[in-house]
Amino acid sequence: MNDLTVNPKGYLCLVLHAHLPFVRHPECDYMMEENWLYEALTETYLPLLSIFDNLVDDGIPFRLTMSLTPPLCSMLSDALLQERYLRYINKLIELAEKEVDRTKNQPEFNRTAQFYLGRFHLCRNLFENVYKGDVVKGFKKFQDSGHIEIITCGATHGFLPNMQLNPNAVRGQIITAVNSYRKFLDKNPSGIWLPECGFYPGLENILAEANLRYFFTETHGLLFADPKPLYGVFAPVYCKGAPIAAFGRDAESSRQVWSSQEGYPGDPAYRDFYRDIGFDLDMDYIAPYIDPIGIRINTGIKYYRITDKGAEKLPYDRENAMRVAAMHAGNFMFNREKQAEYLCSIMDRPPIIIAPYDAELFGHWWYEGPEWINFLIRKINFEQNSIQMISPSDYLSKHPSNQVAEPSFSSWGEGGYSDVWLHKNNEWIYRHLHRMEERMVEVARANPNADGLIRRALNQMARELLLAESSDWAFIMKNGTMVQYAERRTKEHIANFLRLYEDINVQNIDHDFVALLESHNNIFPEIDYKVYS
Amino acid sequence: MSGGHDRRSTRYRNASSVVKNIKRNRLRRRHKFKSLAHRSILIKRLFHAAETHTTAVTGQLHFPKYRFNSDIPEKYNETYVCTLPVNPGNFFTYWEYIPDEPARDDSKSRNDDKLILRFKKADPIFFDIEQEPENSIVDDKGTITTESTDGGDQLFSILDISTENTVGTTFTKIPEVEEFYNVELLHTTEAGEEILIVSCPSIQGIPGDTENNFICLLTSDDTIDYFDYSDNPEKKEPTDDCSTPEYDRGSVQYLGSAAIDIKQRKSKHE
Repeated sequence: MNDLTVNPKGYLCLVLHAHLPFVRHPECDYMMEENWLYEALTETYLPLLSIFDNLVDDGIPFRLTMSLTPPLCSMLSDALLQERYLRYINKLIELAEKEVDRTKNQPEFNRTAQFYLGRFHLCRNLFENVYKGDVVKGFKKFQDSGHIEIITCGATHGFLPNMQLNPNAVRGQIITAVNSYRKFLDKNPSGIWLPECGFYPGLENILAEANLRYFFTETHGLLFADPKPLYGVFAPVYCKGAPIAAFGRDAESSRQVWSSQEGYPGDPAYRDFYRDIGFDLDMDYIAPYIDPIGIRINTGIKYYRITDKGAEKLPYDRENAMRVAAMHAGNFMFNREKQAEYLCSIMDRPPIIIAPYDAELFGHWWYEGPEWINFLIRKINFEQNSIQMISPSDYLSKHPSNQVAEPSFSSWGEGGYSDVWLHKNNEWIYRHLHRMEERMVEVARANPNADGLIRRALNQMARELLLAESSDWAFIMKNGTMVQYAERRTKEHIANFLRLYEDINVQNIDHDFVALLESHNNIFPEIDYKVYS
Repeated sequence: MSGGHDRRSTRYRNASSVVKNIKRNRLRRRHKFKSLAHRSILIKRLFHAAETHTTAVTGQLHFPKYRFNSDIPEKYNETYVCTLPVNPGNFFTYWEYIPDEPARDDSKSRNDDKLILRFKKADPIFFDIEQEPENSIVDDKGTITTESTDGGDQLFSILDISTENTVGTTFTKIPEVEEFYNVELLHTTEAGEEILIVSCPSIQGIPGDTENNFICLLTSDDTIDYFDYSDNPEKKEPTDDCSTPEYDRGSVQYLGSAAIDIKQRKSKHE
């Protein structure tokens, strides 16, 4: 068993970044985009909590870092969305029961249908009975027990380099996020996951103002630092002039999971994401379980594995997939061991290997991902002594002396800079966002002691600005997936903001409009518009 | 895999309801609904309201109870210019100019039709006065010309872009990689004099990732395969093709924003 008191050759910092854009539509009974949350709950967040529970029950030590973004925390804590999730999971259970019956003469599919039924029951039990609908509290429990270090992120995941023209806009994202974190988790965050790993020189000052101790950059953010980092990305650097550390992503461990060419998730034994019964089965059968207007969508029940390219898809074999996941966990661990042993021989301290991933990769895109994490943690604990899991705070405590350097402009988006969020498909938004940011600062300074309806309107202006700044919309516009929705959301927030701005200026605020916005876009109830002054 | 619907189920109680459902299915297959509104119109016209499809749980059509306005202005009737770095050497710039606003010096006659976007080095201390800046044609909006600059207030200019648009955006490749940049919006008089309209705050560019910037990683560049190095007697024979790295996973797409191919980026530096 891995004895945590023994000095390891290196440390593995597994970072799971959990984020979804704020999607909440009380005006509709059903909105397809809300399914993003329900799918992530069913396939990622609840399975991860279940795995953490089992690890704790088995007495296996582990240490992970997770970012839970404010929009995600808000949605997970929202009563309407909790109620809709219960409805969603009950429908899934109903569908799974029908599937078990439908496939009773097809053993190769029936086994999988039975598995889904059990999995959905587990999710409902965890959600309804164990965590009483409050999944954030579930993750908090593991933070309080010392197994997870939860860090924050930008308030609405705004891409901060594109806000650098107005530092108060950046401050608004950071301070609002810190306040939101405090509300959900009863303490101050020690670190931050920069949205899209977007860093620009000067940002560290604003992060340090918020008493954050560390952040992460993409690999080249640290490798192109000034001066060059002595240890590459395998030790943090302190930023010049700001008491905050920067950790850089390790390219090697990233490639093994993220790469579409050679990453684990593309293994032929794993479940195929795209062969879903929502698209395969007859419309009359599946209609009650897809979009009510008849648009076929993913249900989460899929019967095929990836198989080889070009070959006919073969039925999914869960047991074999688990064997492969265990083997891949062993491979990943082995590579980290060799990596740590090599680095340790040329460094004067144990290296830290930063391995960050989107949490939703595990379970949603890569269905076997949570189990891979489970196997990895168990193997690290039982099968080797070279590496140990650690959080950035713990590493800074063990190694408080670090090189001083200025990280470089970087992001983990395609191209490594701002190309994704400054693209011909989404560049139109910045004229509006920047004007909104200027106006927000203007009205915040003009109303230092607002009260009553004016205060409510100012706070709602801040919410609309933050929601418009979400990098998800620009990302979606660039990638061409749900463009109409992203454009509509951006324009609505801009229009809402401008209307509130005009109403405040003419001193004729529509109470009903403010109340409607407050109930609809109800994120950050504790927000204070004065963060922009 | 079989379709799954049993037509002898109790859903079809009589022949007429079977006919109605066949007609509805034909309608769905025949029509490509252009939009939700289009579908709703067709359904209301062809079917009794009670037969329109509803959400299973609430029994209500999922039309929104309210919608927010999404009309936004095309411009703000203000004069401004803003620029952001996109990647090393490339900037995104947008501007708006209100021609009715007085120029800095009212005594000069103004040629409102000709505007210039000027990219300048913001820190003149290290500027080499012997060097004449290069220009390149980049913009795809408005009229673009390039001009060489030769001293005076244009001493620190890197690139000039002429445009006739009072509102516009442009992605621009800057010929020289500098640390700090300024962007100015100017218009020229008939006498050829330039009048500054507005400028944006200095912004830091992104250093180019030249060979001098690239350093060797303190790690092995290759992924080591467990089975090549392990002496573990419990080593299992690989099942399927899982252990052989040659199989093609090119069809799998990952939509996480960090799903970049590290190899491709590294090959840029090699």
